Parts: sequence; structure tokens; C-alpha cells
Amino acid sequence: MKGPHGEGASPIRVLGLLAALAGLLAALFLIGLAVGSVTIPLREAAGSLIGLPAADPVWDRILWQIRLPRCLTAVLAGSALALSGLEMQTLFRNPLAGPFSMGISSGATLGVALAVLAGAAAGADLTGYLALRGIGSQLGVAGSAVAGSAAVMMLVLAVARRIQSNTTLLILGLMFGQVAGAMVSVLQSFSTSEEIRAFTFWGFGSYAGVTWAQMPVLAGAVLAGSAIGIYCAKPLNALLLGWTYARSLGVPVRALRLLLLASTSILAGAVTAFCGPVAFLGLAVPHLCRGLFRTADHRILIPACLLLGASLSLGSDLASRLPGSDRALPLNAVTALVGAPVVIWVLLRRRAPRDE
Amino acid sequence: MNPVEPTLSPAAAAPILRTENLSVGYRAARSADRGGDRRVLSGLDLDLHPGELVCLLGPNGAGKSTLLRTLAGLQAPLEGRLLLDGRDASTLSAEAWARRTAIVLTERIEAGNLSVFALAALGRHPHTGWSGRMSEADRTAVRRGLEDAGAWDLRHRVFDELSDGEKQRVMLARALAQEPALLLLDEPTAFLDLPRRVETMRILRVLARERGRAILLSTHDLDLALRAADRIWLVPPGGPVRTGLPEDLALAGAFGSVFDQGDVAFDLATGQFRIHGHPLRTAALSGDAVLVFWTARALERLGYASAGIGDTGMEGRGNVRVTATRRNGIPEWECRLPEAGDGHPESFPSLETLSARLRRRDP
Repeated sequence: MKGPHGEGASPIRVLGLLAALAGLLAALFLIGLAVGSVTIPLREAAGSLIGLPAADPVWDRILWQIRLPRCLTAVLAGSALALSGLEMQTLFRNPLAGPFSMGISSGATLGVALAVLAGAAAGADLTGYLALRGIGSQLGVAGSAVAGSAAVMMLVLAVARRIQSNTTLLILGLMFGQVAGAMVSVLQSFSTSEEIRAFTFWGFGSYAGVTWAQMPVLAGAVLAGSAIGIYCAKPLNALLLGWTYARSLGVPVRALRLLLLASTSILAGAVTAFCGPVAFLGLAVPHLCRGLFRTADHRILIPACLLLGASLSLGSDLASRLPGSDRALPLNAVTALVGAPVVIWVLLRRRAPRDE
Repeated sequence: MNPVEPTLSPAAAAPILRTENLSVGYRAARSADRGGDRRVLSGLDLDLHPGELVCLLGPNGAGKSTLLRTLAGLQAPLEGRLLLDGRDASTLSAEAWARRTAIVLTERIEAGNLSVFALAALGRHPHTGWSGRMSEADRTAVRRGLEDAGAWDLRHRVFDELSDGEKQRVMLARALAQEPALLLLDEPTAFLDLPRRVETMRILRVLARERGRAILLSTHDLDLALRAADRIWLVPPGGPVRTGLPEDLALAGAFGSVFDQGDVAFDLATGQFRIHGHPLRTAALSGDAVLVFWTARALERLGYASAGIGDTGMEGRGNVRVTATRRNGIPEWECRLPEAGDGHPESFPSLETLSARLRRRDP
């Protein structure tokens, strides 16, 4: 259905789809609380959430101490990665831009590794530091991750001003990521095997490690990053025409570049600090939203990405738990299985690539 | 279209745009190094009135785009003042500037899955509030922009799937949705075929006349510009810019001094470029007027200037006389070559055979 003046999607269709996504998110959230190595009946899970004691007190503990923080983390991380991916795709005018593909997550990883090493040099208990006990280490690690993200973002942005080619930019982003990754490896060779194990496990990506004590820092960062993103929705639309046209429409481009740099770094950096580098969500979700809502309007895409990002993230985490078994998959294995086909679809669908 | 009140003679109204001793170009990378500024055009005193269509002409690299970008606020002037609507433009915010001027650039854009309507609606950006929510008046402006640019029928289409000509019209619609008093276009006809070029100029003329917009466009389409423009701003490499009615500039020999280069020359008699420099020989043409016109063109390509019968200077060795007539509606050419003596003229069924014969004369 078309709007009265021919705008893409009608408001009714948009609201309906957003409501459906919110419903999906709520359903996945409940299932995420119920399913795991121990299955809790949905009824009990929902009841426990609103304060009714569960039939088995162990269920209450599992729910409140393990599953609820894990599901909340999945929601926050998924939303944050999807939004930063959307921002980056518009900012770089590149459909394959994303926090992982352009090396922003690797920058965050490097930041974390440096923070950990600095912590070790200062005599901190390293595995404890990475487990983020204490607000000081949390802010330290999150801050270093954000700084690492921002550093890579600034490098890519500086290059993007000189290089028009999408492919070259993407490869450069990958290379910055590789360099950051290599530096992490170098740092690791100076660590004890126990530290390496902790770091490697963190590198698989996981939502399980975030405790209630850490939640405020993660949630605060995601809220701040999202608020900036929402504030930028209108100029992001103008940016679809490129920087020159955006400026001719009165967009303060320098301020916009800084705001988007801050937003993407905070979102991608904070999530990486607490969950490890999570691949593909940031890249794939914006494309799914564009296809679903058939629009390029960021005022619609931003809420859509927040909701669908959270849902896909929860779904991936659910699948990685292999419900009913004692085993678990690395989160990144699942997100890659979901995300890679989307990327391939995007590549195949582009009829006329800009880079000849 | 709702015609606004017909504009008075353009010069009577206050100018939309006025420049005072304006210099445009690129700043040196370091501010300490002021001497290193690259001045492209300087000392510009120009003005542009509502309802006026002005074409910016000049060879590549003369600074047409730089001037347009400066007027659009995309780059700062190096020197001098720029007045928009009587206000010093340097005091305007980016949004206030964007409410007065809109620009259509040469760069081709990819807009993802943006629909034509949504793209044109981006023109409302400087008029809407923080959230970008559009009022009924905003929608009407978008609709009128699409209609005026002849793109209303495309409104449901995806921009990236349009042809070059359609994209150009949509970009124009977006600029019109901005409701600018001053509309700037950088080579809007560059990628279009001839009918589309003429159509684009027609649309722009109507916009200037009926909507009272001031329109400035750069173009390489000299012929079209001479016919459509109210005034020409002629930019020779290195300046100074000359302004005036197209005809006055032509009669003053201004185009020749700017564009003549090698074998290409502006021909005052036809108002077009001649590709073959100064012809060495003449062909005296007579007969059917239409046939003579096209014969002159074909012979010009071979290096013959055309002349009427009776013109002087027919004694030269290389000169020929050609008579083109229709016999029972079928064209026929008779050609008298001096080297053939005073015998019967040779006759030819087509310009192709005539050209072949004349080519054989060449040493």
C-alpha cells in the first residue's frame, strides 16, 4: 500500500511491522529465559519475572542470576551492533560497512588487550580484570574498547575522504582490522597461558559473561550511543545523497561526522568490551530491515534495526546454547551462519557495482 | 501549474544574488600560506534577478563549477561579498542558505532503495524541524517540484532503477522541492540525448518565467544556451567574466575569443561552431533553399566555405559552383569544376557522390 502522496511505505504498514518485530522480540526474550541446560516452563519464567515465586527456587536463581542478564545483554548488544552497522553503511555509503567488516571491533579488541596488559603491568589479577570485576576495571576496559574503535573509525574516515572506491575502502578497513588483530597476537605472546585462554574465550563472543554489576555500564553506553543515533536520523537521510548534497541541504557535515564517529565507537566499542567481537549482526540487520520495510528512511530504519538486531541477537544466543544439550556453540559461529548468507544476498543483488 | 504573478522586467526587481568583488577558488592547505591560495576567478561583480535564466559558459577548467559551488555555499569565497536576497551570505546559517539556494550537481548518486518521492522529499530538509516530519505544505511543495520537473509519474519508482534522463529530472525535482529563490545547476544536460536536453531547457525556462525563480546553469551546449538564456555569463580561462544578452555577446565577438581553439571556431553567420578551421576554398551555391542549406554543411566538412552566386573571390583555383535543384521532387546536384574547363557541369544524384568527386580533386 502506498501513502497518499506516494511515499514508500504507509504509516500503518510501518507501525504494524514495528509492532510485529516488538512481539517477536518479546517472544524470543521469554523463550530465552525458559530454554537452556535446564528448561523452565514459560509460565513459571514469566511469573518469576513479575515477582511470583517459581515452583522450584533453583529456577528463580537460574532465571535472575544467569538467564535474565544474559538475555538483556543479548538485546543490548544486538541493538547496538545493528544501529552502528546502519550508521556506518550510510556514513561510508557502503553496503558492506559494519563494525566487524571495517575493523572497528578489532580496534576495540586491541583497546581491550592494551587495557588488560596495562592492568597486568600494574599488578592486577588479569583473569579477574578481564572478567570485569569492579566498576573501575569495567570503565577502564569499556573506555579502552571505545577508544580503540574510535581510533580505527578515524583512520577509515580519513581514508574515505580521499578514496572514492567502495572496495578499496572495505579492504583497507579489513587491513586495519588485521593489523589490530596482529597487535593483539603480539600482546598475547607476552601473556601467561591462563590469560591467553581467558582472552581467546572472550574472542569467541559471548553474552554469558555480563553480570548485574556490569549491566549499568553496558546499558548506559548503548543508550547513549543510540540516543546520538536517533538524534542524527534526519541528517542521516540527507547523507543518502552524499556529503556534498547533504551540505547543500544545510546539514552541518563536520558536526554530523563527529556525532556518528562517537555513536558508532561507543556502540561497537562497549559491546565488544563486554561480549567480545560479535560478527555479522551489524552488517546484516540493516539490510534485512531495508528489505522488510522497503525504505531508506532512517526514522523508520533506526527503530527497526534496534528491534530486529535485538531479536536476531537473542535468537543466535538461543541457538548457540543448543537447548536440551550440555554443550554450547561459540556465539560467532551462529551469527556467521545467519549473517553470511545475508551478505552474499546483498552482493548478488547489486546489479551495477560502483567499482569498475 | 499555478503561475505566480508575471514578473516585471527582471532588472526592475531587486536581485536575488549579487556578488561584490568576489573571488572563488581553493584555500591553501595551511592558513599561514595565504599566498598559496589557488584563485580560479576573481573580481566578480555579478547579479541575478528573479525570473531570469542565465547560462554560464566557458571551456573546461575555467571555473564554472567552482563558482557554482561557492554560490551554493559549498565552499567559502576567497574574497569579496556574496549577497543573497540582500543579506550578506556569510551571516547566514547553513540551513538559512539552503532555504534560499538549491543546487543540482554533476555527480551521479546511488541512493539505495530510496523511492523517487522520498528522494525529492529530502529537498524539504532545510524547512522541516528536528524530526524531519513533513507538514501538508511540505508535501505539496514536493508534489509541485515533481510535477514541475516532469517526474510526478515516476514517484513510486526506485531511484537507482531510473534512466539517466529520469534521474536528472528527479534531482531537479528535489532541488525544486527545496523552494529556492536561486536554483543552480552544474551541467544539467551533460548526460542527456538531444530531445532530453531541449526538454530540460524548456522546463527551466518555464520555471524562471512562471515561478519567478532565478536560475543559473553551466553548460557546454552553446547552441541551446544562446537560444534559451536571458543572459550569458561567459567565463574565459583566467577571467574576466563577461555578461550580457547572448546576441550582444555574439556580435561583440566574445564567443570566438573564448572558445576558438585549433580547428574549432565560432561561426557568427550560423551561431554554431565550425569544426574545420578557416576554409581554403569556396563553393558558390544556388538553387533550392533547403538543399542549399544541407549542401553547404556537407561541403563545409570538405573544407569549402559556402558563398552566394555573384560573390566576389570566385576566381581562385580551388573554387567550385554547385547548383542544387529538384527534378520531379528528386534532388540533383550540378557541379562546375574550374579544372574541367567550360564544358557541361557534372551532375550527381546524392551529396555522397558529390563529396566523393570533390575529394578526388584534393592533391
